[in-house]
Amino acid sequence: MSLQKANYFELFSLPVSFQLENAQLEAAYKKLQSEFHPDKAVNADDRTRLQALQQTSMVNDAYVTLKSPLKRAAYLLKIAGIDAEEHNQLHLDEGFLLQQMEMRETLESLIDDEDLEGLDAMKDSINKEKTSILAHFETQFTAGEFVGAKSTYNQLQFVYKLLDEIDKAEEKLLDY
Amino acid sequence: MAYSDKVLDHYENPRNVGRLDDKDQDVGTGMVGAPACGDVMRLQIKVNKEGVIEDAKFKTYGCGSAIASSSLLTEWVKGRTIDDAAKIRNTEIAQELGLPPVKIHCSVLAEDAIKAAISDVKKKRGESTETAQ
Repeated sequence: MSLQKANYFELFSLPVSFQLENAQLEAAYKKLQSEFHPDKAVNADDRTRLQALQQTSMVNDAYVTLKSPLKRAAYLLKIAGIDAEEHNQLHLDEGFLLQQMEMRETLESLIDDEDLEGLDAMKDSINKEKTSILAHFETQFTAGEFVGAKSTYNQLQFVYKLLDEIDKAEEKLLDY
Repeated sequence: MAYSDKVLDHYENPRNVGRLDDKDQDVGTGMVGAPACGDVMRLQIKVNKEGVIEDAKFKTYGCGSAIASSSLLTEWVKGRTIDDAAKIRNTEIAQELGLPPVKIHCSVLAEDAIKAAISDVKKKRGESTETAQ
């Protein structure tokens, strides 16, 4: 069986959509994983083994891409012919950047105060924001508003980064 | 990846970190960001009546190269006219700091920030009565 599919969604027999059933993704991943496991090609010739390795790596890439909402959003934009990574300052809303800057400043002072409760509260509120931006992306993408969806994706990138920074701060404080 | 000595110097001792009063009519603020790395940068300039940049401050949340690019830029623009400062190219910043190709976008961010700050102060001056709400 060949893995030549139009895209990762097709590879996993999933509809090309932002909405994704995790259970379906996991099941499809496990199935493909066992089908193409390199161990099965252990006694085969070099070419077949290399192929098995490449297929496994492709299945893994596809899984990682579809599982993460952020990566999935970028991938959907790519399928729609939009380069999500290309950016121009004009696409970024100044009010949004200002808000990001303020949140980074808040985070900095929470770290200085070693305020773990504050960090938790901040994480909760950013996670709520993330959920609402993800929903917004889905609405825009489904409606075919790709330019707007791209801006929303760019905002998500900042939000994910911020959550990352909060996690790092918490880990650092808990190590004391 | 190893940072150059110049990047490390600016990273460890950033120049002109802080903020200027954005309500001041002589202050221009440039807010920019790089979605791919989640970096945010605020660069502010205080411009006198002759169009000379008297003070510059920045705050950058990002990697060492982004911090160094904005730090260096605040040093460079002080004492220059805004027209002169607008001519600074990211390639000059990248060259001075010895940024590797993967970090060139950090210097682009700094160039975008100074341009945004200059256009902000120009806008304020053009519509000084309107914006003073």
